[in-house]
Amino acid sequence: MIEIKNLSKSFGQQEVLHDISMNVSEGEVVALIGASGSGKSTLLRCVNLLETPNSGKIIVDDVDITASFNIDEYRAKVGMIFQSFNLFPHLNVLKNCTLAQMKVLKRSAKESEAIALENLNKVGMLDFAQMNVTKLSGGQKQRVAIARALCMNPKILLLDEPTSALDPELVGEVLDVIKTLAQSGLTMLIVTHEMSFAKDVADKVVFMDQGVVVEAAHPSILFNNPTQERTKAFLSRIVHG
Amino acid sequence: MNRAPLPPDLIGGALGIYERYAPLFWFGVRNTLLISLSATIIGLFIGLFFASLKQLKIEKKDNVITKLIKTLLKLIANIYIEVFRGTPMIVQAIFLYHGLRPIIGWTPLVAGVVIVSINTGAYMAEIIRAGIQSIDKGQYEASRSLGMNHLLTMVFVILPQAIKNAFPAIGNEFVVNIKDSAVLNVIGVSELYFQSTAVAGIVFRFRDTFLITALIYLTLTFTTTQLLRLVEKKLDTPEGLVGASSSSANNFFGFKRKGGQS
Repeated sequence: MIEIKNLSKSFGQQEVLHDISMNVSEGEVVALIGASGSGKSTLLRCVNLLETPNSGKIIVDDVDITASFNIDEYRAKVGMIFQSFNLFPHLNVLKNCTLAQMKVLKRSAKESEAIALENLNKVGMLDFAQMNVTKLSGGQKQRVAIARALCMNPKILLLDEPTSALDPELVGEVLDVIKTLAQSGLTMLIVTHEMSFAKDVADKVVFMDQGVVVEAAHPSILFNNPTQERTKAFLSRIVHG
Repeated sequence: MNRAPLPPDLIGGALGIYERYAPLFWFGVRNTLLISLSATIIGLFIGLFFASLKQLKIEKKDNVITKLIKTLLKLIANIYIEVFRGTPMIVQAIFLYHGLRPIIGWTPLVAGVVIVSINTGAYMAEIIRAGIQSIDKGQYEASRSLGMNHLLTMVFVILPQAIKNAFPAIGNEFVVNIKDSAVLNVIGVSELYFQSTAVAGIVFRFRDTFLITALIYLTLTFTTTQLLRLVEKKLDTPEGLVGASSSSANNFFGFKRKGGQS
């Protein structure tokens, strides 16, 4: 479904991604792990073209998205969840979920609302539909952000450290929602620092370091029997802390 | 008119003048308010337009023509802003009024509204630009990631927040316009200052007449400022624009706005 070929990205002189190649098949949940600055988030942002790669190809559903094409149409099909939620503070919960549906997918207000409520229900935020988003807790905000993305019927969901900005006691409620989505067969690419979560939900874990993919494998293999020295070093740092 | 002469002292003279010529002053007040209010509103829209032009991003994917058009639009916006912020409004007024009168034959009042609007627009563009920059870039990215293009993102996500943030500065432009519309007397707009010179000319008492003028201007600006504060408070609570998703918005123009972080 997503095919990344020889992707490189630099910010000025600094190369943050070097010759990355990987595949994500339909329905697969891929967790990207690695130290801060290893390029995981940049890779994710490249898939949504929030960053433009310097070279290489990203092919989604047989279309090369790095070549010229309708960027907005593509983005509507690829949901993105941010570390800092990025809800629209001037709109209430429901309107956060309906705005893009009406403006991009041209759905009627009524239809958009029905779909929004359905998705808010999915993330357990139905009772908050009329609330001001600034009044919500971090966990609630992130669940609304997930509902907002789901309203666009994405084929792929990209999650950029979805729980990193949350208080520890709020992490669980968001991870539960993501888990449910993973089980529903949605293709997901998750940048995360939650190793036990990655172990639980991912079909494949990709370990990145200094802009390259060091190792990619099923979590049971990567976490228990990593083959690369750098992976071992990283995992021991995480475990021992 | 065979009236008793005005008392020689400042207060007595001023009171006497007001008593006799109040309608002339109030005619001026009407025009001053008409010009400053409409020009502030029109200027806001002009500012929104040009600030949006300045916000245009030239993307790698754009073809040559799009790139050229975008560059040209940005250039026009920059020239407009620099020219109208960089020259005195009194000069703009004389140049534009007399320059365009043979072509469109406008009245001083219409010219006055247009000139103050264009002038305000240049300042508004910068105010809105600062407002836009106060919005966290995550807002832009989130909107684009939902498939909304640049225009939709600006209109429905960024500008509503930017305008709310910039409200104190926008309101301030109104107060400035109440005062600065006085320069329109050079093209013969019968606003408050123009009317005052007329009255002063009749009674030949400049000091006393302009005490009245000053007090009227002060009343207008003071009342406006208080009204704007009220609206500002309304905007700030409880639907105020604060929240973790745009924390920088709290600190616009260097002061902490009430309402705090959620």
